[in-house]
Amino acid sequence: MFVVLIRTVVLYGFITVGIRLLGKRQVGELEPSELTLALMVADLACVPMQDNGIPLLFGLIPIAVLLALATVLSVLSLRSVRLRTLLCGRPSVVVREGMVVERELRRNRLTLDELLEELRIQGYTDLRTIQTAVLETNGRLSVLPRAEEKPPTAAQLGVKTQEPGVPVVLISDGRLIGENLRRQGYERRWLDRQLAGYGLSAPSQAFLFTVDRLGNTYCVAKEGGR
Amino acid sequence: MRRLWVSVGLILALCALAGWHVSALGRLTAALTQELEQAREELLREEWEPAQELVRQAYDRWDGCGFYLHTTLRHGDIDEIRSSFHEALAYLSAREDAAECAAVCARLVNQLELILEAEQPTLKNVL
Repeated sequence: MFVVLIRTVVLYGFITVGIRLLGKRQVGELEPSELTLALMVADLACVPMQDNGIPLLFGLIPIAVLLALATVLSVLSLRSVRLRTLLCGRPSVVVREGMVVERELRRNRLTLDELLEELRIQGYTDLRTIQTAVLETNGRLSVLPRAEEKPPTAAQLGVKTQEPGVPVVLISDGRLIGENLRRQGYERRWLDRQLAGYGLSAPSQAFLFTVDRLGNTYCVAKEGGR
Repeated sequence: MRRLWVSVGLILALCALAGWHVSALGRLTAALTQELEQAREELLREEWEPAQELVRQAYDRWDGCGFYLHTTLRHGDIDEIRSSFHEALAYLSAREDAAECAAVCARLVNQLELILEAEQPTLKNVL
């Protein structure tokens, strides 16, 4: 049991360092320690599940140790910037003032093709339009366009706007969600009138019906429901 | 902060549990080894009756810890020791070959030492 416990700690540390050394692009959307945890827990759970000759504790103890270690490390890294840098690394600026920072690309084992692909995914085809691109510790790329490339906001244009809020679903797949209707302050008669406006006579004929804070409605009729 | 202490507490509790396990297994194997060694000496003097009594006593002690052993050790290791006990008891019932029976007891002692050794937190085991 002791041996299992010590081996778990050793392997967790070893794999976390290994993934950290692999670089950010291998990580995906998790921090290195989180990815290690996900990989190891998934595998550990399978061991006693597949082999009846292995006690359940041989799977449960390492999983408990891993979860506890991950919690300890996450709490400590919240308190210590140095530990957080050690565990997760630092964000890397890969494009500065429209210029690719080659050294940072090499350090993160990110090829130029991969960088350009990621920028294209985010809608940037011209490097000159980018002020800064940062490869975050979780492997994702954050792009800040140059000020002149940013779309103007309503505030910048001096346009008065009203906040519509998040549209609330009142009818989902033909089912009326009465609680949402009441919470939005509407009555059934109002809903029937709105549905009639879309050519529907009952909630069961609507696939989706939403309303926002300003009273704007959106309706999709059920196929063959009318 | 509570999450930190709960996690640290869990790790410490598991360490304590592991320590208790090594100690409990050490006590159990020491008692069994002593009984089996005595049985072997009796067998070498061809004293079948006390030898059978000692091996039976050791087997009952081992069997009584079945739940604990099955939850903490690999079942293959436990089954191997159980088979050796049955083999020794069969020789003792037949009362034919004392030397062979003593050899089975010696093998049992060795198997018990091995399962204890495998649980010790030594560098050899960790690596």
